[in-house]
Amino acid sequence: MPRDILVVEDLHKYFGGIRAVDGVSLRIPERGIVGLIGPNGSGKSTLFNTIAGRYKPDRGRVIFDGVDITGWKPHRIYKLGLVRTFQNPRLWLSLTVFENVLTSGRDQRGESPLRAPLHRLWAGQEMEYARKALDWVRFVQLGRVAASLSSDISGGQMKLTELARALMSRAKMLLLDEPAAGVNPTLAHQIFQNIARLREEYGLTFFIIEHRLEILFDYVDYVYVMHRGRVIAEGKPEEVAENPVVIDVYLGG
Amino acid sequence: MPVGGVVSFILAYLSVAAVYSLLSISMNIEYGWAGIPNFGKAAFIAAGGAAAAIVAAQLGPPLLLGVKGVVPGGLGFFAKYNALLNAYAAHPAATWGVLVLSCIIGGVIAMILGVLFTFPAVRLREDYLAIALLMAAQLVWIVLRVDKQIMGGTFSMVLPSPDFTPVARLLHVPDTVVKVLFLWGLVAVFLYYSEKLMNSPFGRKLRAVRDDEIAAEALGKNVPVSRLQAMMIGSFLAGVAGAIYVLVHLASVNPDYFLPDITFMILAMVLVGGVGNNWGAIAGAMLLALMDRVGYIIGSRLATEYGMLWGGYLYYIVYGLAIIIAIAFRPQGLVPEKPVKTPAWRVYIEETGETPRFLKPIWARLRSLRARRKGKKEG
Repeated sequence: MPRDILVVEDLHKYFGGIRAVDGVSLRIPERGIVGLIGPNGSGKSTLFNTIAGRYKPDRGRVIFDGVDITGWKPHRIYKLGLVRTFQNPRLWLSLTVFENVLTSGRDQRGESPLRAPLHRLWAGQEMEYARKALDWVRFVQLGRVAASLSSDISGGQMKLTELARALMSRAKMLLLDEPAAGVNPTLAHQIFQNIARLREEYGLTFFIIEHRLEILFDYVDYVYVMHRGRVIAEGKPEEVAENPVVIDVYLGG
Repeated sequence: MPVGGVVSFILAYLSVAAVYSLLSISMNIEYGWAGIPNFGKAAFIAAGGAAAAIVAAQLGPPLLLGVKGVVPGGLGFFAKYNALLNAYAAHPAATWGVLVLSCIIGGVIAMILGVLFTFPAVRLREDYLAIALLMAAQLVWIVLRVDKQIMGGTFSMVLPSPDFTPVARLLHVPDTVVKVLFLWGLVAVFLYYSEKLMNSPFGRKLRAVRDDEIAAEALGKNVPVSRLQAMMIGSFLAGVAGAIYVLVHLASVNPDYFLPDITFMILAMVLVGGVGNNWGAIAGAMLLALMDRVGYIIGSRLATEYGMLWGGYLYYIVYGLAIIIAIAFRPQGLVPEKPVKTPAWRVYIEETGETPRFLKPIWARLRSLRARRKGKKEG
């Protein structure tokens, strides 16, 4: 059994009277590809936001890689190696695709305002990072638009840029919020094949929200199902697909 | 207008345009690059002004002239201060000492104020930060008016302007020419520094925070610290520019120089010139300074010769119109923002064999534009 890299214990997040996340517990094993499904408004994205530090939980704990990160700020969680993408791409629109990826590189020496004007103090690292960033841009097959402003690319390409940006951060685990939304079926399969490849080659762990179950179920080892802020089912994809509770939630509403 | 009048108009214009360029470069670091609407710019310029007043009357005399300083506001201050000004006039080097000291002290005070004013509001949304800064600037203005020991309260204080005569004599030109050259030299220094500073991972980080702070935070950028860094640098430069403004350009200081008018004037220059482009900040400062000067001349004519008293406020109308026209017709400004230039692009060119259009020199871009137009016509 591989160890669990992410452990969520009894997590709660309320907005006024709405219990967006209402006592969720889950475990993600290292090098796992785990899916998170559920109808719209079931609390999936809020769960991601609470794990990744955008919201402070009202109760419960989040443990990543053996460290209790409950209530940490996102930039500190990033430093530990847990990085997320967004449901609606959030790119830095005045930067090119290449720069979007490059900017998320960690510990950049030239980010200090004291070192920044003295280019030779960071130029070496910058060029090394630039090579890596370009590799990741090509990995997600955006080489052709690398020098385009990220405001000028399509929605699907924005999704891919977000993925490359998360990869550039040398994360151990990625939280992907609908990586294949708005992407054609061929490209969607390609994205998930890439995810599988990243696990094999780099030992990355993935926790993925996705509505396109027919694609998701081909690639994940394990699935959690959320409904009204709670986990109502979990298991291997084929088990979940036949679980009457899940079918009821998806079809009956 | 006689030739002499035209020449002196041009020199006066170039002098004021240089000072505004210094200020708009510093505003651009905060507003253009980091997205902080610094509605309290006047306070940081005032820090430079206050430093100049303190150095001229209180710190400078013992350090530079070897005599006792005087504290403004007391009885008989002006008589004693006039004696000091005469002593400065006899020691050109001391006037330069005043400038250097004022720039350093003013910059540091402004930087500290920048942290103090921004820290409580740095986590808030931009509009709240803007309001907090606007109020902070008003507070500084009130303190400067009430506390007579800083710059003499509401009485104007004449300042020992740096003496350009020795250099001017050497070059056989009038003093004002040397002054203008000196000020534009400082603009070149500010421009060089901010270009170096911003074409770096630091500049990219600020843009990331400005474009989408939620994404910036998720990808490891400390958003409040980044904003504070931008405010510290911008405020330091504003403090330095403030000292230069009162010492070199105006040769006097009064709390009313630091009303919100100056903040919004500079903001208008950045908006018109190009948000996030240092050359744009200078272009905006030059254009609006010209409109300001011409507007002043026309306005005062209207007021004095035709009895249209609103002419004295013509420059408000000019600035308002400039902002509206810029936002409506050219929101990116005269010189739009460019991608951040770092050695990373060298790697890009090396690996792909392609040079992105925005990295080509301007003449190459113009040539390709002309070729495309020609192609369109033929096709």
